[in-house]
Parts: sequence; structure tokens; C-alpha cells
Amino acid sequence: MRITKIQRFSTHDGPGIRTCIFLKGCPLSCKWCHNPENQNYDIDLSYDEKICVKCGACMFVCPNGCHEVHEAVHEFDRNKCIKCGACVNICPVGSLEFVGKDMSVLEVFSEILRDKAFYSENGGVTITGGEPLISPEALEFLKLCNVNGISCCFETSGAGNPHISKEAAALCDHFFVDIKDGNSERLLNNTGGNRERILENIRLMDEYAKGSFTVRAIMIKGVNIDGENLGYIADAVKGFKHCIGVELVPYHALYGTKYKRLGLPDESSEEMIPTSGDLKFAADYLTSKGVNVI
Amino acid sequence: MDKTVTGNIVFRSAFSGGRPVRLSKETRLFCHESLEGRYGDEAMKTPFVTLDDIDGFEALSSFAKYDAAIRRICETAPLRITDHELVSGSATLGGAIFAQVPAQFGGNWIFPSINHLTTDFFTPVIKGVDHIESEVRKNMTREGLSDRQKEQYKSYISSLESMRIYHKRYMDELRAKRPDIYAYSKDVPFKAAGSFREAVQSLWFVFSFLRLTGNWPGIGRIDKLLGPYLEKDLSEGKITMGEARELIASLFIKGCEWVRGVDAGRGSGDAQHYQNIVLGGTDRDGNDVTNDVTYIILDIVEELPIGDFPITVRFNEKSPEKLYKRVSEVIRHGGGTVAVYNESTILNALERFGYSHEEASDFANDGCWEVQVPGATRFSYYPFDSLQILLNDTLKLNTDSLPSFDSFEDIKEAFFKNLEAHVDAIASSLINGHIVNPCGDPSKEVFRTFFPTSVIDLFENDCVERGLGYLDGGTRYSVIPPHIGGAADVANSLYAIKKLCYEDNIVSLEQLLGILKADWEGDEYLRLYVRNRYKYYGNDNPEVDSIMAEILNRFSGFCEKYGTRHALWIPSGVSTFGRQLEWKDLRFAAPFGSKKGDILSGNASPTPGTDLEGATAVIKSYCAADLEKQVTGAALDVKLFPHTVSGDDGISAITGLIKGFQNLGGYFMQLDVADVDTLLEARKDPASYKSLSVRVSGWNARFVSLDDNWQRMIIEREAGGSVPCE
Repeated sequence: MRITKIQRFSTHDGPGIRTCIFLKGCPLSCKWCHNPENQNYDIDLSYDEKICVKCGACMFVCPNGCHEVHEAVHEFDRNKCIKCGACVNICPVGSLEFVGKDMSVLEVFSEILRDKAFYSENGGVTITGGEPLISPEALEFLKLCNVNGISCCFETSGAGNPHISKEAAALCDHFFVDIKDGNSERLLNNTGGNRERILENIRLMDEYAKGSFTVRAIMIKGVNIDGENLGYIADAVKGFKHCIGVELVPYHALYGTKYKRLGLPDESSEEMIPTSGDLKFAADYLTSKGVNVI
Repeated sequence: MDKTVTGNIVFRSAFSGGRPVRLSKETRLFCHESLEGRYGDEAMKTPFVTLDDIDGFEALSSFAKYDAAIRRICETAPLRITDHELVSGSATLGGAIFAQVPAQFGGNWIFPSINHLTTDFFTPVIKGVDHIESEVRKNMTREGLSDRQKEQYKSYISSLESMRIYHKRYMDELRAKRPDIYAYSKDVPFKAAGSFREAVQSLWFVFSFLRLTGNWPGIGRIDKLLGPYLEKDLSEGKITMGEARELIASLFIKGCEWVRGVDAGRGSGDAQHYQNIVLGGTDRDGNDVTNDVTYIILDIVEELPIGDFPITVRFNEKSPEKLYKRVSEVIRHGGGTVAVYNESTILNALERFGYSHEEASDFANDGCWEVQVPGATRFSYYPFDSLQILLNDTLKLNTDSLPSFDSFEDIKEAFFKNLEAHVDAIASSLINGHIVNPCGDPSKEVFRTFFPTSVIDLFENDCVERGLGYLDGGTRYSVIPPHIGGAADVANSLYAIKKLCYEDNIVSLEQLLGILKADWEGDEYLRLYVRNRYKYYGNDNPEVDSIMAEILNRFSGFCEKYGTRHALWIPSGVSTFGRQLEWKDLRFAAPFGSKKGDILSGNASPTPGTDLEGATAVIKSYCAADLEKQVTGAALDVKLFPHTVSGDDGISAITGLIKGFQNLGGYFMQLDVADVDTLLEARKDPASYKSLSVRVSGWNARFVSLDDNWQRMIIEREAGGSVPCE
């Protein structure tokens, strides 16, 4: 499994205290992706300017001269970088680090056991990403948790592998699935996703679901807060047997720094943040269609 | 601020959903006034009574001086009966707020206060103070009493007379002014309480009498005491739950009467008068005592931001699910008002040390969180800094000589030798300071005598029977544990030495010691490296957690040499109670990247800024030690951000933390939900944040009543190691 992060004491990714496993790689490429470090399957090298102390140690160990530190300015030429890790090892504060690490299913499992004492009746493990349901190993991991009585959840874009998705749904007590846009053309342009294929996948997961699931709808001002998207979500949800409701997830612009750390252009925009009025409109719209808004 | 919107008081909360409203407008207003400092400021206008007019006062015996002081206090202390109170009696002399018996002669205080104890409230409420007096009279006629015992008994009678004077003065006023309160106040606390209202009034009156005379007792297991009275009165239709809530709320609000306005002098917080309360837990037969009073109190502190009665809940296998839920709901409002005991660890610790199961079952705290048998224990503790022992005695940073070690194990063993010598020195000084001719046979040892404490003695088991004071061996148990401080910093230091000098071989020990003497001057890269690249205590890293466990286990072993061998018991415990502030300038730089002057770890918590893996990892690190060996306790402070515990998910998260803490063998944990931005705002605008309460250590305090150093310490703890820009 290619992991970017194992986050303990997660309190909003399913019931109870959960350990979240972030898998790297996603078939979608949402323009507003809040976890860009998980999009690309390749291992990235992240540089966090905010915590860098400009000591220059990286400059002395880099074999290709990628780092230049002069007068409290650090320049990092990624084109020359061969990801050898010399700078990662020498950095005293961890401002340079690899994003992504390959771990076996058993290694990940032993990590999540560290918080077993806290899972109590309803806590456990949540796999997320990226898109976790493209990884056969993730499925093996869920099976291992199940055998050992550890509650599982997943968070999916809906664009996972259908075979893995249906089996995962049958193993998990709860899951969260995104419906990012009901306008198929916009969805394709903004995310690369296919609306029909995603809906079909969600229906499949609903059919095989062991427990319940929540639909998460990202709300982006100027993009998808309209009757077309909300009406599509309402219609879709009505057809599901195991869906407990829709959670509106407002777009935020705080993820921009993550792009900078990866050397990517920051295209986050405060103008896309929905107002409380926008969110109320969406909630009222869905409620008027008989949808439970969580 | 506690906004007043069209006359409605809105009390601050860290929870976005705000606090519920259940109490009457009058009670909420009473609380608001009290928390604004109205009554505390009033008490400062009458700080003490004076005994200057007593001829020959200086020639009187200690007991006679004490008795005169108590009598004068009871005869002349101002009475206070407020419009909205439902229980009566007040500690109106400001000197008591500063831990003095509030009486002076010639401009000097005469006797200090007794604190760090929980007195016995069960006997006065259930049997009445008349019963205690009859016990005094019975014992004082015994044959063979020493002169001191005879004087002691006379002093008990005098204290009881004074208490009656104080009571009568209140009754004379209440009869006309508040006949409703008079009806359930006139007979108690002298007679046994016959109803819930009488029981609450009796408890409050004894408590206020103890405080009026300068003492700071905890209350202990209030729900165990009051629950049966409420159950009976509810079943007989004598009271409703709403009325009972108003009554207990009044007791809680009265307990804030020492809160002063923001202009008062600042220090380590104004609410630390050790008036702690314990809820839940099992009784001597193993039945869980959680009852309606438990939930009423949780209702009250959920609605009112009262931190003056810090609450610790005893959780055990039989604790109801509802209790976890209600405690979690209260915790997320912030303020750290409710903390957690893991009963099974504590019962095992107490019984293993030498208490009977029955007495262990009664445990409460001393006013902070150190465990004791209430009403039967004379308690104080001896704090020391183990990091200074490592840096000075072992690594000799305070000398020009260089220590020589062959291996990391050598360094560790040298430290343990130094630690043991330190514990030996503490234990000898405690034993010799309190016992005349210690012989190792507790039954033959005699305590030295100190100053009279008769008011306290009346509410401490065995003092009346023995005719001996609280400090003189009168209580069933006299206990003074050495408390290790800075243990996490020692564990981190040893771990850093192991990595830097013996595993990664980045510097030699000799080089490192030179660097520490120079306070890392010129070695900032190495300092940052060692600080950031290793995972220290608090991150569930077995390599360093095992060092911490070994430190605590070995320390308790050194104390066990003394244990219960003398009449003065010497168990072990872990605490700093904010002393990391006093110690910061006395310590050299430490090997894990701290500099001279840094505020380091508090109690058994991680060093600020080094715990990066979240609350579960912190708890796991802490629980790696055998905490049953820390008899009087080891406190863990866990910080949570409001967002982390918002919504229903937040409730189940807090519950999960408490259950995990129990599963792993924790001892005491305080969960503090705090928003650093709010604390920073409160520093800038204290007048608007008068009631913002934070858990300091064993006590709560209004944030604005802390001085600058203490405020910074709290903010650093919450922010994870540094004070953000202001």
C-alpha cells in the first residue's frame, strides 16, 4: 500500500476515535482537490517554506545542486531533483520530506493496532486518500481488520474500481461517498470523472453495503451550487437504500499551501468559498426534496 | 465576555453550540455577579479580625491564642445573605483567601491555614455536629491524658462554641430575612440532616465555617453523601429535580465567593483553594454510586462556567454509559472543570501500598488530584526537580569537571544512583522533621507538635479520639510523598543522549556536554536537529517511553524503602503543579534541544511542543509506566482543540479517550478544550473574559487572574510549545 499519512485520533471521519489511512493516487484530478499530495501515485518531495530555517544544510549535501540558500531565501529547483533523499535526511526541522511510503498490509495493520485501546464500541479505521478503492491491497487490509473485529470505514470519490468498491462496502460499517457535480460536462471538465460510471458505482456499493453511508457534496461557489447539481443529488439519494443523508462540505482555500509545498501552482480562490447563504440555499433545497441534510 | 444580551446572561463556551440554560434567571444572575468578583472584592474590605485588645495575648498558650482567634472571627466576621442564595453561611474575611487564619495581633498573622486535605463531611451531615461534640466530651474525661491533650480537648469545646455563635448570628438574621432558608438551616449542622435541603445546607455551613476560619478543604464525594437524601425526598414528593438543581447550583455559586475582580493581584490563579469534588465511583461493596446528584452537578457545570469546584469523576467498569456521555458533553465546553480518575489503578495502588480495601474505596483527593482517604489523612507533598539531578549531579554541568561513562547504560545507572540519594535525603528530612526518635515501629513513634488546628481536627477522624491535632499525628494517616517533577524531560534527555552519542554517533558525550554548558550557542543546527528529528515522550515511541517508565518505576522503588515503615508514610507521586516555571531558570540546557529558561514538562505530561501524534499517543506514552506504583498519583494533561471534539463525533471521541485511558491503566487525566486564539484575546482584553476558566494543574483558575508567566505557560501548553504572535 502506498501511504501518505497514518493519522491517529481522527474524530470526524466516521464514528468514535479512528485511525485514518491516507492512500496515494486517485483516478480523478479535481481542480479544487484539498489533498493534492494524494493525487499522484508517484512519491513526491515536499518542501515547506514556512518551517524551513534556511540553514543551508540541504545545499551542502544535494548532489545535483537543487537547493540554493542565500540571505534567508531558499530556492529549490525541482527539475534537477532526482529524489535521492540526501536533503530529506539532513534537514533539521523536517521542512523537506518525501510524501508517500510503501508499506505492506501487515505493517499498516500493526500501525492501526496501536490505538486499539481507544476504538471502544464504535471507533476503528477509516481508509481514505486519494482514492482508496483502486488498491487491491486496501481491500486485503479491510478484510484483515474485519477478521480481527476492528470496525472499518472508507471515504471514496465514487471513482474507485467497482469490484473493490462493492467488496469494501460489504466489509465496512459505514462509508462516505462524494457526489461532486450533477452536471456531467462540468464534472468531466473539473475532475475528469464520468457521472454515470460514478453513479453506477455508488448503486453497486449501496446494494452490497453492510452498514450505512453518507453522501458528501462539496459546495463550490460559482461552480456547483445550483438546482441542477442539488436536484441530481436529491434524485440519486432517493434511490439508495443505505444512505443516511447528505453532508454539505463547503469549499475552503486553506489547501493552497499544500500545492506550494509540492511545487505546483496554487489555484485556490477565496471567491469559491460559499457564503452561509449559499449553504442555507443548498440545505433548504435538499430538505425540500425530502433529503436528510446532516 | 459573558455577553448580556437584552438582560440574558450568556456564559462563554469553547463549544460552538453554546451552553444550555436550565437554571432560573435569578440563579444565573447570582452566578454572574459572583464570577465578576463582587463577593471576593467585598471580602478584601474586611481581611481579618484583630486581637490587639486582648490583654496579655502574647503570653497566652498557642491553644488559647487559637481559640481566641476563632471565637473573635465567629463573633465579628461580617454576615452575608444575598438576594438569590438558597444556602447560607459565608467566608467573608479576605485573609482566608491567602491561606491564613484571618486574625492578626500587632499587625501579624497568627496561624497559617491548613490545606491539601478533604475533611469528613459525612459525619457532620449524617450524624450532626452534636454527635462530634458528644465524642469530644466522652474522650476528654478519659484517664491518663497529657496536659497537651487536655488543652487540645478544651480547644475543641471552644471551637464548637464558636461555631454555635457563628450559626446563631446567621439564624437571627435569616429568621426574618429569609424564612425559607431558616426553615432548613436552624437545626443543622448540629442535628443530623433529615432532608435533602438540610443535608445541602449542613454541608455548606460546615464548609463555610472551615473556610471562614482560614482553611481550604476539599469536599470529596458529594454525590455519595447527598444522593440518598435526594432519592428519598424525590420519592416522597418533597422536592423536584429542578428545585434540587437550583439548591446545589447555589452551593456552587457560593463557592465562588472568593473570586475577585480583574484588578486584583495576579499569581497562580484565583480559584485554587483546593475545594475539589469527586463524583461517581464505587462504594465499599463495589456498587457504583452514580446518582441523580452526580448528574445535577454535571448539569450545573455544563451551564455555568464555574471552575472553583474542580471535579474529578471516578470511572470504573460499572460506570453507566450515561455518565461517560454527560462528562464528555461537559468537557467540550472547555475550562477543564471535569477531570478523570481511573478507579481500578488507584484502588490497586492504595491497597498495594497498605490501605485496607474499605478505606481505599473511600478515596477522594487532597484538593488537587493527589489521592487520599478523606477525613483520615494529614497530607502534604515534597516536590523536587529530577532534571536538575540529571544535569547537575549526573552530567555535572554545574562544575568544570567532566563525568566519564563507558556506555549509555552507565549514564542511566549513575542518574538512578543520584535520584536514590536525593529520595533518601528527602525521606530522612521528612521523618526526622515530623517524628521524635524514629524507630521503625510506627506504633511506638510520636509526632512532633506544631500549631493548633482544632477546627480541622473536629472533622478529621481519630483526632478527637486521640486528642491530637491534625499536624501532630491525630489523623489516622500522616502522609508526605516526595513528588518527582521533570521526569519526562529526563526521559527525553536520556533518549537524546542515547541517539546522538551512542547510536547515530553525531556528537560525543563530551562535545554534547560542552554544547549544553554554552546553552547551544553556535550549535543551532544541532539543536534543531535533535529537537525535531527524534520522537520524544508523548508520541507512543516505546524507545523513549520505556525510559520514562523506568524512571518512574525506579523512583517509586526508592520511596518503597520507606513506605509505611514509619508513622509518617512515604509513598511516591508525580507532579510539578506549575513548578516548571520556578525551575526554568535554574536548569541548564537539556540534551533534547531545550534551552535555559524554556518551560518544560508539567506533571507526567509531555514537554510542550514535543507531542506530535495526538491525544491517543500521549495517553499511550503516559500509560507505559506502571502507574499503580505512583500511590498519590501521576497527572496527565491532554489538550484538545474545540474543532476536534465538535458535534456528536466529538462526544464519542472524548468517551473513547476516557475508555482508552481506563483500558491502558491510566491514573488521572485532565482534558482541556482550549482555543489558543481565545486565550490570546483574553490577554489583550481581560475585562471581557473575566469568567474564562482554564485548568492550571490540580486546580482551575480564571485565565485573567494568572500572572504573565502562568498565562504564557498555559498558552504554550495549548499551542504546543510556543506562544504565537500576539
